[in-house]
Amino acid sequence: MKRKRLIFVTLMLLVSMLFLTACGQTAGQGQGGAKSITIGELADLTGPTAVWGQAQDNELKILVDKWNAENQVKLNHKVYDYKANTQEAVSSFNKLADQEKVAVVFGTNNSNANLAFGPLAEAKKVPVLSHAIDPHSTTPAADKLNQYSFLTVASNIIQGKTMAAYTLDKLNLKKVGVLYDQGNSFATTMEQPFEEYFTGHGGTITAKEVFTSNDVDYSSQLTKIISTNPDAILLPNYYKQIALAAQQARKLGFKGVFLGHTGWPSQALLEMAGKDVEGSYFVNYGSFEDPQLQNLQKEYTDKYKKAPEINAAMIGESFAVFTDAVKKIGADKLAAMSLEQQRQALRDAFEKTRNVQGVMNNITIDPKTHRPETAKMAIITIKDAKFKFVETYQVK
Amino acid sequence: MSQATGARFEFHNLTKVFGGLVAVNDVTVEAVAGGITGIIGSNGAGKSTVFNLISGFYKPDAGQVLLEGQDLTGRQPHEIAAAGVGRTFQNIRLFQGMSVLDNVRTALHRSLDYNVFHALLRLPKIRSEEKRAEEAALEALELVGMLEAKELTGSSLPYGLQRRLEIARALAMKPKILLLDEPAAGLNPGEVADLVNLIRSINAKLGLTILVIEHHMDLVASLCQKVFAMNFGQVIAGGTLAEVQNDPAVLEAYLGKGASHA
Amino acid sequence: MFWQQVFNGLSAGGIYALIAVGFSLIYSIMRYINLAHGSLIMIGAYIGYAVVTATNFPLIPALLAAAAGTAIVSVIVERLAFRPIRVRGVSTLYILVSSMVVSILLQNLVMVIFGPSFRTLPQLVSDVPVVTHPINIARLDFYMMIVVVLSLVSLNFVLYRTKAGRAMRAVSFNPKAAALMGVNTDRVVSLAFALAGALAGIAGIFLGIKYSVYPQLGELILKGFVASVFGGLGSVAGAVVGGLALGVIEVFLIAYGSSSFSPVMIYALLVLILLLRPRGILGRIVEDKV
Ligand SMILES: Nc1ncnc2c1ncn2[C@@H]1O[C@H](COP(=O)(O)OP(=O)(O)OP(=O)(O)O)[C@@H](O)[C@H]1O
Ligand SMILES: [Mg+2]
Repeated sequence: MKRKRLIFVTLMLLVSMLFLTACGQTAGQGQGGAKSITIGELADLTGPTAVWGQAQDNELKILVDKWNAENQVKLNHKVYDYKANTQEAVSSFNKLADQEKVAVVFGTNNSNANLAFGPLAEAKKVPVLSHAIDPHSTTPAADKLNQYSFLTVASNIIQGKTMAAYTLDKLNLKKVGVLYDQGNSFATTMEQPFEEYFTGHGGTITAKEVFTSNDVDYSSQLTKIISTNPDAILLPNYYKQIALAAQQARKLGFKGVFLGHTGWPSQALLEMAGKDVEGSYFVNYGSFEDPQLQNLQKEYTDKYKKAPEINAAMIGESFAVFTDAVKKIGADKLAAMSLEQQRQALRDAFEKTRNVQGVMNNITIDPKTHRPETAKMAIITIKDAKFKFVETYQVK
Repeated sequence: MSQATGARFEFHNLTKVFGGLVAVNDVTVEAVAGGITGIIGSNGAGKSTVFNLISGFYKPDAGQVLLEGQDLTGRQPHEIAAAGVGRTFQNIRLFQGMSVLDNVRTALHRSLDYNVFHALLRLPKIRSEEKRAEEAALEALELVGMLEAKELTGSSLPYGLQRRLEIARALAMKPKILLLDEPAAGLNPGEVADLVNLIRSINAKLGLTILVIEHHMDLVASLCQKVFAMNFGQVIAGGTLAEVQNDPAVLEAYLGKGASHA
Repeated sequence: MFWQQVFNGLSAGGIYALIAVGFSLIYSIMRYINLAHGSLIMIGAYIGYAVVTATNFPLIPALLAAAAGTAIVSVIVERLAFRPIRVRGVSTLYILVSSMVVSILLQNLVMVIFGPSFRTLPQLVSDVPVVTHPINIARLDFYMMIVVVLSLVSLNFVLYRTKAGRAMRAVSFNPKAAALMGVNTDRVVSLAFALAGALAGIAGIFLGIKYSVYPQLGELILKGFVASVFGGLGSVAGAVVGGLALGVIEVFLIAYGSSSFSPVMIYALLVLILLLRPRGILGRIVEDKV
């Protein structure tokens, strides 16, 4: 009796676990008419960064619907939720490539996911358009180029340089301390170009301290940084780490400015550390206060009854590159090709992207790096616990 | 502290099966009220199992345990202890890391009239209750002559004292009956003699009904008014020690095993 | 900077101690490792969050509510997930696995109820530092250290000055003999889980205030676990010493060594301690029960 009950209880626990972890599978939309091109999307629809993934997916749906309303050749859109998890991203990528037989994968903002499925894209010869930040997504090593991976937005190299230039020229701050996650290329690949540009143009890095992803207390590192009297502290991290670092630095008496990059724009950062990050500056891909993005914002808000995240504009850049390629190849011609031919044709066309007008930037992809080498970026500050667009800025 | 007459204690038809092994088989014993009753028998005869059945560590498959007519069968160990059954173990089971005094004070758990919420709110009550516990514990330690050792930790005591401490701990609960499982095991002859005096004096002073399991026949001979012999889970003889020792069944059991006790 | 770093270390160490004590308490009595303790801390943080957002309670009532709520959850967890295994007397390995399952279950439960996002407790403690010279002491850290000390002193009082504490210690040494002394071991186990839960609730609120509230908050248990091994698994005093030591060592490795190597160093140190002194700083040698 007892044993039976024990087994029963254990089973119940296991079943409910499976139930709780298994929800969130998504499939693509239904099959269209005769002529179509199947496109795949990886989105973090659930998990810690779900707000970004949902914005990306919502906007892509708008764009696909618009395309399908205007064109004979339909786009057949398949989306997989990779839950912001690298393993999940790999298996979702495989499913898109092998089962859904997509011609192109719209990747994600998550650099680690991109780094993980990059080699698979090479092996399976599936072109990927991502809006990730890490330059390694397309150039995993100095002399190596991923033939099938492309970035459509400003990589961390541009972000690091832009922030460094803006700090020196516009903010007039010459002494900066740095605190970042040493295990996350989201942070390291921004810190390096920042440091290079900053020290190369007359600035000083007064202290450089690191932490690991699961740390939540940086008081010791911050005490060390603050003791070097910097004008500003660069925090190129995730919003939660930024919030904690800013809170802890203020508690330790730091009065200066915080600087950052695209890990910053999140409402949660303001909720967690609103007044601690007051007066901070960071770079972002764009801003919805920028008149250029009004259109997108209106369409999105009308359809979803909530404001978009910047990821919606970022997937817009990828989609612009994609439609440009399709038009160059010819939609009918492309739809008639075999899957392997479609993939190859798209890859070749992506590599030749020149002066394509995206949502935010005029995009030119460098064939040697498979990403834009320059971009204008939005400079955002925080005022009265709100994000405030300052200007767009392009480093020379 | 002393009782007018010792408690009546008996158990009927106790049976316990472990897997295929009938460890205790239809055992009935009536203890001498206010006296000392012995249980003897070779290794593995089922003696300790009988004690474990009485104190509730095992649930009997059949049978009944009665203390002054009150049925204790199938209750939880702490309930049986609270009903007045104190015992010691064949393998000493002290609270090794705790002081002698704390070992004994633990036995007063039930009689202390306060709980956690008092602990948080009414400190004076705790102090007075704890004072009472300490006095009762010291009284029990005095009974076994261990007052001077009260601050030592259980594990640091010599073996003989550890056995005594177990007895003190059992007595502190003011039990109606006391079960001693091989109290002389591992003691030297001098210590055994002291133990005999101790048990006798406790029995006399408190009028306590005592059941004792022993292999030392000297101890059984000098203490027990009545003796039961067990073999393979069954009681094969009962009566005075002399009667039991001359019982044909007992002789056969011992000769058959080729072992000699006494 | 030196004293500032000492304070940083003690303030982190205080939290580690609070985590480690709850963890060690269960280990010392039950001799099994409750992997769900981290999730209980997380539950404590969410209870605190829910109570504070719903009622605007100030710090002290919020602490009491989180402590009480988590204590109840802790007792329920023991009843449902550990007791059925314990009474059957099978290997404690099953309990380890069960506690892991409970931990995942609680995390998922919270994920379903509250969602995966980070939550911030409304400000319970003013920002104005207690002192700014010669070192900066944040009010939250100051209060936290007072509460940590008070909790540990109360725990010590319960364990060493009350019958319930004595019964707990007795059960930790010998549950059978304790039962024989009239101690209801089931009740004592529940009480131990209630105490550990209350400590988890208190730790949870402070962790929540300091580091925000999210379903994986319980992963900080790892530090508490390291601290309790440092101090001696199963020793409550050891958990306190281990927690404070871990906090200070960690901070000093960063302050006077390098922040890139400190995570490695701290685990290297742990391995070293285990090799040289397996029972930790204050641990007692665990004897096999007969
Ligand atoms: N928990 C148990 N599970 C299975 N078998 C058991 C258990 N406890 C006791 N036994 C078996 O029951 C039988 C009687 O054991 P018991 O301990 O009662 O003997 P004893 O008469 O006290 O012997 P000794 O003189 O050696 O103490 C033995 O064969 C023993 O192996
Ligand atoms: Mg025996």
